[in-house]
Amino acid sequence: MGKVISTLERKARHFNVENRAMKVISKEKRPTAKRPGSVDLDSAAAEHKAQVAAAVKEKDARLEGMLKGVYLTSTDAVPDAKPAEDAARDVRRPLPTDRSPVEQPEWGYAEPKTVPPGRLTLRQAVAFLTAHQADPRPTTLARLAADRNLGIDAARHLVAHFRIFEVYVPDAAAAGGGRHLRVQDPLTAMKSLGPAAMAEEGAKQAGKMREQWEEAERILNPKRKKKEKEKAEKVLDPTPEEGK
Amino acid sequence: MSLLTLARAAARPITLCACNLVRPRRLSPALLASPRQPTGTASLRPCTSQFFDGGETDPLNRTSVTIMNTGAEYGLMIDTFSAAGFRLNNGISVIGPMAIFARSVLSWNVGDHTEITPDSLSLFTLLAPRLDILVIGVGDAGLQSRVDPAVLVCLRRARISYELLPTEQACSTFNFLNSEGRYVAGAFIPPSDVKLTADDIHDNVTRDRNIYQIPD
Repeated sequence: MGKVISTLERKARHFNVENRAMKVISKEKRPTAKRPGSVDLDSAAAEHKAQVAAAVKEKDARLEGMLKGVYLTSTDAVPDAKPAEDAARDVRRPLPTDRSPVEQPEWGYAEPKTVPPGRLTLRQAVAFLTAHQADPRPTTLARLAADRNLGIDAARHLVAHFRIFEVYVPDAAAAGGGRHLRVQDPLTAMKSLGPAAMAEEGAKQAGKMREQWEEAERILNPKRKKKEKEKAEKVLDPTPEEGK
Repeated sequence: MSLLTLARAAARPITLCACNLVRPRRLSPALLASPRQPTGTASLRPCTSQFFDGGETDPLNRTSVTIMNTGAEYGLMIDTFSAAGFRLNNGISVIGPMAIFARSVLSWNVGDHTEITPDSLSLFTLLAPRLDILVIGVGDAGLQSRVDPAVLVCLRRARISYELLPTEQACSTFNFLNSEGRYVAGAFIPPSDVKLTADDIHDNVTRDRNIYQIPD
């Protein structure tokens, strides 16, 4: 069936094909496109250029009329005297007005404003340990843990494995003698050891500790204390010296 | 060294007074068992950076070197270590294991690497901005493989990056990370085996000669 259709189509397509072909061939040929080398582009361009050059020299009345209507005035730009104030007006994106160098954070890192429950910042952890060392009773530990939302186990592990250092500095008076270490007041020691905040937090809790340290110092440096006492007595009561 | 400052783990102050030279509250068993006494401190090679200035301004093409450990703006760093403890770049000598942060230092109450447990690292997992990295110095080289695997599991669960290293390398690592301004913490146990170079011995002799020197 398909073959029959294609055969019929071909017959219809080729009907009178010879006559139609002759008709096309016998027509007069149309002019062909010029070949590239046959046009003198240089001379055409030169001609156009000359025309433009001539046109530029001539006065165009229309353009002249338009130009006569234009008046140009100018004034000096006023410098922005107060850029900070202008910037402050844009509340959404104010420009920085403080150009001082950024201060280093006290503890070496940016401290968060909010702390999730059961966690501590380093500052809080140091305060926690200081408070515990000032009063190492279990009840105090439980209270401190509750304050910080810490589990009691976590608090126990914390104080069992981490402590604040005690600080010792050489004593000028005792440098020549055998005892060259002087126990320093815990608050001063903390100041020299770390940030001032450590001392502030410690000050709240360290009254008891200070007594212990003073006692320690008395035992470490009995001679010095004795001398100081003698000095103080002399100042108070100068009569024995006169007697001598 | 102008200022000799000793900081040590807190003990009951009264018992301290009996002895002239202060002993740490708890020495590592390895240290006590070791026939070798802590005779000196080994220096960590200072972190240096070099800037080559050349051209017409400096025909000699001189080099300038910045020693990081001397700059206070970099925060706390470890200058030297020994079997007894560490000396920091602010002149403080720390006796015994320590937990060191960018600008603060705490005593770490562990004896040796076997006591590095999730419990003894509790502070690091409790800290509120999570640590960028925790550097653990286990002491002598080779001990890092003997640390309890539960520690690593615990740190991974807390999503804290960690470095488990011999203390010598751990100190250098901490110094570098701290100088870069990262939120880094170090947990260091003093090594029992300290190898001294000729430079270290010279430094130790010089320091011992001036041990009673008082800062002006």
